[in-house]
Amino acid sequence: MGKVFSKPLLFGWLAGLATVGVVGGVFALLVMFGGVYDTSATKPHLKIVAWAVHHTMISAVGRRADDAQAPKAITPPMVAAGARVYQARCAACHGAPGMARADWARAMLPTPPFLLDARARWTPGALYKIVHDGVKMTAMPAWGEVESAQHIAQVVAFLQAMPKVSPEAYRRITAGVQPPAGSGFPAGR
Amino acid sequence: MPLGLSRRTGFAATVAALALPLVACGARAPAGVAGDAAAGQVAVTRMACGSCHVIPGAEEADGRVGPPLTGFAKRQMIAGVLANSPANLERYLRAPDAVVPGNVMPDQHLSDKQLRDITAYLFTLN
Repeated sequence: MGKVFSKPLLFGWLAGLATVGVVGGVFALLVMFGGVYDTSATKPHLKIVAWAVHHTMISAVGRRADDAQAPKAITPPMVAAGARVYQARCAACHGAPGMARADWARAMLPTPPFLLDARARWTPGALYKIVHDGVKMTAMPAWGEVESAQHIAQVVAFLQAMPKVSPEAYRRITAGVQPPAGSGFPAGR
Repeated sequence: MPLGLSRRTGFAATVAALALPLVACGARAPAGVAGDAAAGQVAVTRMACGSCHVIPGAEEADGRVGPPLTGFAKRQMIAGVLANSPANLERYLRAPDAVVPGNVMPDQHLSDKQLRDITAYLFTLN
């Protein structure tokens, strides 16, 4: 290993580092001030950018998730309460069983996902973390700023139970909760 | 002569190697499907179809709610009810609940163009 740091090679290392620095710097300037990367929400991210930011989020949430914050026991009243909070706060962007997202939510990129298999993708602690603290650059709000810990726990309980809630049951449970503007069931229902 | 042959073979192989991905990327839907498959691929991402379905070529489309759409062009049935055809797919996407009452799959209020484009894309999945 001594040879790697010999004098002639040291020059090579420094030249390489400088090249990487200059090329990286020019690239960063082009992106930040040259406007070469398209940030409009009409075209999806480059595949590698989408992959990188998505996995950054998954890892960040996983590292900070704490199952102790998730609801201990999930009861039917908790699920029903969670469904009503979900209808008021979440359904416009994320849809619900049998329910589409609002038209403006469909115009967002990254697009807000439907959450029927959220329980298969995330631990309860991770779901609590995402709902409570939001996600930068995705338009997911930090609901902990405006909602009680109890309501957030109820939503997490509902997310655990969502595959068992039929569209019919969801409509019944959330009857009377103001549906978010622009979203809703198929016409005539 | 052997050299000439190998050169020609090499040239042909190079052309084929360059052309094949082009053909594959063109993602052309079969005759009778009017939509723009490339636009359909973007629409599939935008409509979050991948939250519930595994869809080759769509970003993060690894959902485990509905059936995987892998090899959709050769699927025989849609939702276990309709024979698979571009017309029936559009009919189903327009009103999943009318085809299968109680369906959790929502009517996403797709425009006519989105319906055609998404159909075109799904019919490129062999």
